[in-house]
Amino acid sequence: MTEKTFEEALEELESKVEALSAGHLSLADGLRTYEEGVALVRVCDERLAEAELTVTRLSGE
Amino acid sequence: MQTFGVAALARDALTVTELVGALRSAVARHPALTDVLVRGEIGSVSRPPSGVAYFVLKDAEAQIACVLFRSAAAALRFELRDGIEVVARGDVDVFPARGQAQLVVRDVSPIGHGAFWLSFEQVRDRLAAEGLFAPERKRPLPAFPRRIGLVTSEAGAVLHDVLAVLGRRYPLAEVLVSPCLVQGEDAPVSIAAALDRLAGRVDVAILARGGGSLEDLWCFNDERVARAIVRFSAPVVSAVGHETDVTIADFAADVRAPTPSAAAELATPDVADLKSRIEAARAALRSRVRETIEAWREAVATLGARIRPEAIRERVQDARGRLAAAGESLRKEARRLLSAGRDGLSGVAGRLEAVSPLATIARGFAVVTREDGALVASVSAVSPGDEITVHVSDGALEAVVEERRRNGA
Repeated sequence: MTEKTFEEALEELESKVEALSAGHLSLADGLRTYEEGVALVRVCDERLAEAELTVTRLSGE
Repeated sequence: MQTFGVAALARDALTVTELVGALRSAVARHPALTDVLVRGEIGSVSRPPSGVAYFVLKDAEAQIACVLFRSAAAALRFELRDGIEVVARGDVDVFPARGQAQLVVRDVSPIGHGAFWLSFEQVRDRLAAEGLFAPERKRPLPAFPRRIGLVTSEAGAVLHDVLAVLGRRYPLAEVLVSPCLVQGEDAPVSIAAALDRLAGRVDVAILARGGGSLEDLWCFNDERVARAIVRFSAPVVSAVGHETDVTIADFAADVRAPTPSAAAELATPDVADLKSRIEAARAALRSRVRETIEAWREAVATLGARIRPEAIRERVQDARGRLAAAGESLRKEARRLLSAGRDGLSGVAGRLEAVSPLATIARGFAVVTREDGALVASVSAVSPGDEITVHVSDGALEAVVEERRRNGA
């Protein structure tokens, strides 16, 4: 979970929302999807909070 | 005239080769005909497969044949075409086979207002014909570029500006800066090499240069740059000069940005948008789970109504009755067990009483003890004259043994 990249987490999060919105989940699955979604929100927030642009200069030939 | 014989004439005459040779050496030595710059319009272009180019330079009154040898012809940045106004540099020579003076051109450049555009159009048209700019060749930009290549000059504001935009919009990215020259003769090779160095290492590349004169930006119209863009491993966003500047590199790029900062914006998602997407997802999760729970609550209520409450009540009633009955029989059983226990107890008490000497005495028997308190169970336990005590149910009799009589004696 902690190795997930931001974009993976965001995509997964949005697919959870979609699954939950489709409305054919059992109550247990619905609650589990919700909890997983909340965890993904946390991952996304963390990734953004810790992000800092890294710049590497390639040397010429 | 008759004093000269024809033979004498023939003797003194130059051969054509000698004449043309004289002409050639006169021309070749003449400073005004060596390393000259000539301005004129191109005509009668001929390019045989040998690679040598032939044409004439002309103006309203005159013309001169020109030849461009293979290496010089290959180095041209534009295509020779009739009607183009050019400046040619070269040396005048005489071509012996035709006895004609010609300009051996070392370099030729278009001039006038349209000169650059001419070359531009020629390169553009040729690469377009090859399909390099075809829309179906354009690659979509990645939504979340993890690594972004930046090909630009290390000097100048562009590098700083682009990094600032990237850092603000998408700090999740890693930027690989591949420096290159962005103007001058060596720039096309440098730009192509800088792109090639990034190949396979980034998800998107930005090729950027700040504003400049047409000549400054010229290297971005070079075919080698266009080909480097097309063969690059990832989509390329071009941003050369100002919005009004359009270069061949822009045609070859997958996306053209009006400015370097705009290129940085096109290449990345905005972290602010991402935050609102996360926020929207968070809100959607919350309301959808609430809806899910609500839906299930309703479903349960609907099902419950279909179960008929009266039926449940009847069954509860029935169960309650059975429980009561069970309780009653349980009580009865307990009572039975209790009284049985009590009867058992009094039985035991009766049997205990039966073996007690006190009860035996009550029935009229007596217990005899000696003076020392020992029970007298045999005639031999006493002697005549001994004092004995006879215990009966309500007291004791003091007596003296007069005689001992053994049973059967």
